[in-house]
Amino acid sequence: MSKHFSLRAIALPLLAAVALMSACSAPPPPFNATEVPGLKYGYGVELTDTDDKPRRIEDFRGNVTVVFFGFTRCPDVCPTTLMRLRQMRASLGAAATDVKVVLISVDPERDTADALRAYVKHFDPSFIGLRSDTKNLEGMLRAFHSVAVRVPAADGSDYTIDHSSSIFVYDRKAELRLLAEPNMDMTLLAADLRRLVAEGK
Amino acid sequence: MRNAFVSSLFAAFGLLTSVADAAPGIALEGGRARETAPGQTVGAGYVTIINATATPDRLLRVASPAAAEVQIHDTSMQNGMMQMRLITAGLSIPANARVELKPGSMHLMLVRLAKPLVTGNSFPVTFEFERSGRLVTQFTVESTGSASATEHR
Repeated sequence: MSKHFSLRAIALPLLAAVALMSACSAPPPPFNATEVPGLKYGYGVELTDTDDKPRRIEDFRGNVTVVFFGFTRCPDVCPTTLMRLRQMRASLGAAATDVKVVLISVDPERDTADALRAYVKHFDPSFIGLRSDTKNLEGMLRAFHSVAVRVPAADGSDYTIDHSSSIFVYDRKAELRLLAEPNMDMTLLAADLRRLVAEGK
Repeated sequence: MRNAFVSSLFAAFGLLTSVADAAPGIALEGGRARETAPGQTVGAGYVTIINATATPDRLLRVASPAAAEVQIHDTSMQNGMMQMRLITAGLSIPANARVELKPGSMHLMLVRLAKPLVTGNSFPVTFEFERSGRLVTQFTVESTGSASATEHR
């Protein structure tokens, strides 16, 4: 009995000390999306917003920026993503002020500034549409390590565009930190964004 | 007396179910379209196709006065790419099955809209099946804020 007691007397503080040490050195829990180490994707690319103002991705420093690719003639999945991101952003409450949502057009030829503005603002007035120069679509995509491929319709009269599906999340330093997919559970993405918003405060 | 009443009830019930069995096999449910942003010339429509028969069918064509053309599309996300493909050979509807056309998946693409799709409006859509022939249903335009329009595969 007394032997048991003394064992416990040593073991308990020891356990507590170990728990405390591991708590101090424990890494933060992983993000729900895939974390990458502060990449400078898209840096140096001249984009223009729908008011024809030049914008670069690095200029979004100070915000947490959600970036994805799409085009206005995409009737199903792009609107679905925009709607889900709108709901997600609205769920952030006050933190939403520091969260920007950016759609970069992979069809700058048909997505004029006017068309792109009407499209993104229809979902959320805060959303930002960016276009690359039509001659620099390839260069823009290369800088973002992304892909867009024109797929002509069977009769050649029209085309659709296959494009990278990833959602990029940039932190307040304007460095790419998270990769997500559009069908991700938006409550989980919202939790990640709250953490990134809190980082810079 | 009571037995006669019960059996006549059963008879009535049997009659009802046999009527249901004899009804044409394909039903369309929940036809809806998304409101469009200003200037948008394409729209998306969704519907559930129910085949209550033991015979497979095939959706051949879809048309509507709301658009110059209605195409059957499939959206998929694979290998890091978002892709949309036209289904040209028709959409097969297995026996005793529900085929759901829904956001982020199979859908109808309304090409060259006659006019913008406005929330609350509705328009007819004609579906032509190989076996069941033509069926017309009304599509209701839903706001891009509604829950059923954001449902994702």
